[in-house]
Amino acid sequence: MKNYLRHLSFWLIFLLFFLIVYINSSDLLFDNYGSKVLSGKKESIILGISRANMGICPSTLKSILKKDFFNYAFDIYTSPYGPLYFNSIKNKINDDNHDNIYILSVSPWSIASKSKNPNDSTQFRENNEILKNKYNNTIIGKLDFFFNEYGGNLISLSYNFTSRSVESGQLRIKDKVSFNEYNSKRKAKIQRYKKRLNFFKFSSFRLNYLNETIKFLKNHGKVFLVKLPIDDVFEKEVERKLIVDFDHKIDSLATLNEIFYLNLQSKNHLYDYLDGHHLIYNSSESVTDSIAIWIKKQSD
Amino acid sequence: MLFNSIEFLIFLPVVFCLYWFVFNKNLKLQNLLILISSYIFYGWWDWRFLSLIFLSTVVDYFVGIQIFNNKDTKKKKSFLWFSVIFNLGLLGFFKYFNFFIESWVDLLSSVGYDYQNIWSLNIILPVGISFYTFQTMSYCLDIYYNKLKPTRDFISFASFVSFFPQLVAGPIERASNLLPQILKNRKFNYNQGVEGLKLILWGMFKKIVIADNLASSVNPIFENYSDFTGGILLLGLIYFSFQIYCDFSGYSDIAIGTSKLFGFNLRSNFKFPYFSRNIGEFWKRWHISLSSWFRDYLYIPLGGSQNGKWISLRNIFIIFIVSGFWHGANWTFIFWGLIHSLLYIPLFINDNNRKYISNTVSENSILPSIKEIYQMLSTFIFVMLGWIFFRINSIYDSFNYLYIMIFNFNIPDQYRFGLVTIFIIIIFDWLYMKFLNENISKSNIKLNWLFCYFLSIIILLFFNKNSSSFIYFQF
Repeated sequence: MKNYLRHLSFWLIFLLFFLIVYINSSDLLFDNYGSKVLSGKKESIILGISRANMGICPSTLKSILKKDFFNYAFDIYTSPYGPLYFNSIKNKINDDNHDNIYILSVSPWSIASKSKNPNDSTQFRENNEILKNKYNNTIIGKLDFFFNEYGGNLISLSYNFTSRSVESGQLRIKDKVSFNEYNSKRKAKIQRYKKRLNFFKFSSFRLNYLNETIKFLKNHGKVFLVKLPIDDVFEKEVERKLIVDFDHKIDSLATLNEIFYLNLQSKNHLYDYLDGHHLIYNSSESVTDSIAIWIKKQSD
Repeated sequence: MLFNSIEFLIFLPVVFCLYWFVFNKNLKLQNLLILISSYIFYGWWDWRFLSLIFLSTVVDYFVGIQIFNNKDTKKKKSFLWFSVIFNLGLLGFFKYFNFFIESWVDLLSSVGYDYQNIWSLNIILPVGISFYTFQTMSYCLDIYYNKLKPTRDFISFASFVSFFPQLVAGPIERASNLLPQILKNRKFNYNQGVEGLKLILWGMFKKIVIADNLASSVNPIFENYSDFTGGILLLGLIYFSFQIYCDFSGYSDIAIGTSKLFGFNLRSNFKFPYFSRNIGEFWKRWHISLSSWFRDYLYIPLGGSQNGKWISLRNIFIIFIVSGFWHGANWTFIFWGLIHSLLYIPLFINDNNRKYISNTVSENSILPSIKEIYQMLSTFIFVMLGWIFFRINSIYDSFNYLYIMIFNFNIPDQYRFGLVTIFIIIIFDWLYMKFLNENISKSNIKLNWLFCYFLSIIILLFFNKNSSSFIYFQF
């Protein structure tokens, strides 16, 4: 037995050593959220929920605006505007530079809440999501992230076997979606979001925090609000029903803060989507292209 | 509790340490520990269903003693029937009640009688019920056939019924093999410990590295099969054939390996079935504990092959169809069983069903001959076609899948990566069969440790804490 335990201990120590070395040597770049929370401070950033996470390309922005961008958008449950996301943004941005560009993607879902009282921040779901913890790019931070948040396997940290990739924080999904597949995905998404309409309500508290975020970011650079395009059917059946006067609210906010707002709703039909509201990669490049040109015009 | 979960990673070493370091001086306490651990292991899924295992244990414990004590054959028989009806009743209610009701309603509708189904119940299928009911039934059957004496030690018997390594997905153990091991003192053996670890890792490798990766291709293909062309459906089918093999045999390996860590030897459940040269050999190598159960407790009592060709053919049909039905309450499983009986019968008629019973493929060489490759490939193709019915929910969809696969065939442009996985498992399985599938001796101990180190790194690289459950849990 002693001999067995000795050999077993060697084996376990070896595995533990391998695990630590492997996680430490990987930069978690292949993981969408890992790349966001472990990548340290950034200058020009993109904010919002999953539509922005997949729909705005840092590399395209860089090619036109000649600045490094980082996509710091997460998803509907993690990064709607509110105190947690605001604090996380404050920690993420590099205060040294005051010439940054901040693109804030807005949608009704980013200023709504599922909680019973949509203005009670203690009930917000993001309080239990990834941004509740601070992770740093040290071995402890990486291990902490790996055990608490990471949902994939170790090999995916080094080799990407899928059609998903991450580039400067942006999630790129290069799946081929057939017409039939798209229709069924859109149908399923619309159904799911229609159910969400019963629970999600506009949150004036979140809108105030969007306002706070804009004010804070204006001290460090230029702020632009963008509403990304979505499928017309999705827009009609779901989006307009959540916050009826959404455009008016955002227009007022932009005027109040003297910033520019680009609403791409009129161009919904020009782009292709994965499931009704997330842009496919090629379309995300085109959309980002037009956003970058618009920003350049406003800045000149 | 799943073998491929963090919980089990903690549970196993704790039980192992308590077993060998705290309770090692007292057999009764060791068996009690096994029983409690097994109930925790099962209750982790849903503690309410522990009552079923306990009930089944109590019934068969007393029925076993009654069968043995009674000299009157009629009384013996009635006690045996009580056990069989009780166990099959449990199984029938929890697994097949809705199937029979819905089939009856469908039958009435098909003859024009509009009958509203108000009888279907919202029944949860208790995990492992098909396995432990068969295990306890075999105990009473063995006592009835004078192959076994009942034990008076209730804790040991309860440990036999609920022995956690094989409780939820087999192998279905016989009391004649496991119970004597539970009743006698066990000593830790270094070689057995290494062998156990090796089997656990080999099983984990098959589940985590192969089956789970293939599942990521299999699920979307089978769930939306009408959206794909024939080439992709063929890939999906090949992948599923290896997924189910690696998933189920992986579970069995982990179960056998875990048992070895506690000093028990369970019977093999899989012996490289895809290296079979005909369907007869395949069934000697696939889910051995179930096929031998049906052979001993159904086929032979029905007369086996001793009462002429026609009775034998009837018996073959019965065991394959019942075996299919055992897997699930759906006509597709019955059809799957029927297909295998149709594949088996020509071998039986030509007396080829036992042709490869005593030898293995390429026994005297490292690589198989061309003839053997042809035989293995053709057997695999038949088995693979049968899996369509096993995986899809309706017979109509199964034929539709087959139709698209054949008549809309083209070279697949997606999902090709899984072929690498298939290639890896074929090579590894072959190497394992040739070089590592034997009891450890001093000469190959280093090789086995090396194998353990290698496998554990690969498993670590592919381990995902959100890993899926084992396919056979649903049966």
